[in-house]
Amino acid sequence: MRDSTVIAELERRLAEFGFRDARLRLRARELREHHEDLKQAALEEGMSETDAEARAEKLLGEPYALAAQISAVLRQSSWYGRHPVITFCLLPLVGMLLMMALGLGVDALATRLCFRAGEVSLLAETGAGMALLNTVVLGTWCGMVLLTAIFFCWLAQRTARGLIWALTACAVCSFYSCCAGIQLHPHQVTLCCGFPPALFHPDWVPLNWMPLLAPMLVAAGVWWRRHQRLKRFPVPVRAAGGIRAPRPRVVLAQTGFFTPSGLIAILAVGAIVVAGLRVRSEVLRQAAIHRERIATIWPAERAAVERQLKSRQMTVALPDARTINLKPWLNAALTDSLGGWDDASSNNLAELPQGLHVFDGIPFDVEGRLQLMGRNLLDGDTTWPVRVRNIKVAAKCVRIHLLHGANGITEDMTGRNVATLVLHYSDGSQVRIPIVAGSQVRDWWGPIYDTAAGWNSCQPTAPGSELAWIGSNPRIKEKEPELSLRLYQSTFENPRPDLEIASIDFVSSVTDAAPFFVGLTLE
Amino acid sequence: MRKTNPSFLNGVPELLVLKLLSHREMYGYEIVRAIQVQTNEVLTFGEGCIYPYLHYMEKEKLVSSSRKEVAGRSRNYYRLTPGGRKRLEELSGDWDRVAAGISLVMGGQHA
Repeated sequence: MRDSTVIAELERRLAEFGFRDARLRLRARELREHHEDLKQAALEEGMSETDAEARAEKLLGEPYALAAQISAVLRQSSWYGRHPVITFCLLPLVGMLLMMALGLGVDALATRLCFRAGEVSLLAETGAGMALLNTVVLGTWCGMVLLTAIFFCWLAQRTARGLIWALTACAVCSFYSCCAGIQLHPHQVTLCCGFPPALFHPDWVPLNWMPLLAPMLVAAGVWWRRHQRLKRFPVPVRAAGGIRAPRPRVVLAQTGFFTPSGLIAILAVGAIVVAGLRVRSEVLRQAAIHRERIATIWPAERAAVERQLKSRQMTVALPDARTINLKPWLNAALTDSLGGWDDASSNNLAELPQGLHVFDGIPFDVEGRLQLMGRNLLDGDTTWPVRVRNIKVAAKCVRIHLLHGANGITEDMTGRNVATLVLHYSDGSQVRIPIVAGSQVRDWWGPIYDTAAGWNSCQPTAPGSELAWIGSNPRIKEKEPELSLRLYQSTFENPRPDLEIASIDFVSSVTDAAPFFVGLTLE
Repeated sequence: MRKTNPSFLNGVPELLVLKLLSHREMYGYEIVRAIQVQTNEVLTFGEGCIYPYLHYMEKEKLVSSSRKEVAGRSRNYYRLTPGGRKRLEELSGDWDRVAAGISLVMGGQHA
């Protein structure tokens, strides 16, 4: 039997509202039967086929209004259908947070199932492991945002709220996802919220756009799916002579397990499992390599460096060097802790030998520390100066040797000036000598091995700068046992050796790094 | 034929449908015919409008539906649930009170 135009229009409208196929079939079937009954009654009254059809359509009612009434029943039958603003604008935030908590829980469970306790600890402490965990957490956040957007789109369809509310929910999810984020640090997960969106922070990488784009992908998918679905419900047109053209009967897709969505879900789950297995094998491989490094490679390299440093501490390469006694300008003892966020009293240079000693072949008079301020020390209780002026020298020299270090040098600071030596000559002129991160100095906490040391390897790159002393303290032993304390000896050419240097200023560049030196020698 | 029924008839279709279904299970077309016949065509509406009411009542669990084949045709039959019967009693009581009150006023005017 051919479908009435009224029923075709009704089906089209219900599809536009987002009625699922099964429900739509049920509603349309009922009205189709009613239409057939009306038509049959008209035919029994002696009307022609055309008149009977017209009468049945007239009595059944206007299809769009009818579809709106049927949709209204569905909307009014649930709380979330009655309150679309709360449901599709506010609840996505709650949904995303809940889903994220769930996602992190699943991540934690999966980690516990896939890795032993030692391996988990290794994951959290190594750079590659942290990168992997960050990717997993970002992927989880992205996935949870995606699921939240899908859930609210499904809710919009279930409540016959139509495309507009589904797209609204996706836009809202996008907005919330770029206002919030997950930050992962060793042994710590932080949920960050704020406006304006952190997305536009310069530290964010393109991968961070994924949570923003995920709901947009859902929105595009919803729109495309609706567009494809509506093709099955073309708008009926009236035939010539005022009779509505019959529409071919629509064969609706049967729901079952092996639908395209089901297959996509199976493939997605399969891909996740395969990816998970590959990630696990890669992490275990990395863990084995890391264990080997801890057990054999790094100790051997460390021993070699120690031997080399000791040999350089035995011999004086510069018999005519003049050490400068810094006592009047020192502002910290070697046993004083360096402040900052990690304000542990034991984070000091107590192991550094005091008095006149040779480092890297250069004698230095070590009495204490001349510490300058860096931004990473702002949170500490101690305030350090930004500049120490007028360190009396009153001598001519060809070269200046500095035994120094810096706290808080990070990878992105490589190549940046962390401090400056300002040489004041007896004629009133001055010369500025920059101390550059990576070239003359590296962070005072770091590896003294080369294998897998990364950006923070122990040797500086500038000629004339060498690792001069390594040591340890209780804090570094507790926090990063494979790292050591590191001090450097840098040799700077005096650009005006014919003039007497009256004094030297030591000036911090007030970057994140806090520079310091413990010895000054003239050659 | 009037296009619409007076607005004070809000709730009346629910009462009528529940009352009709209290006698026996019926399908949509049958319910519309019964209303037209039994009200002498005083109450009329677009016949498709009965379905939103029926779907609403089904959501509220006042009626339940099932497909049945009668005389070679498959129909969706609606029947009253215990909840629907209780609702009918409430609505009937309300209607009796309102009708009695209106009758008193209208009877006084007509007298």
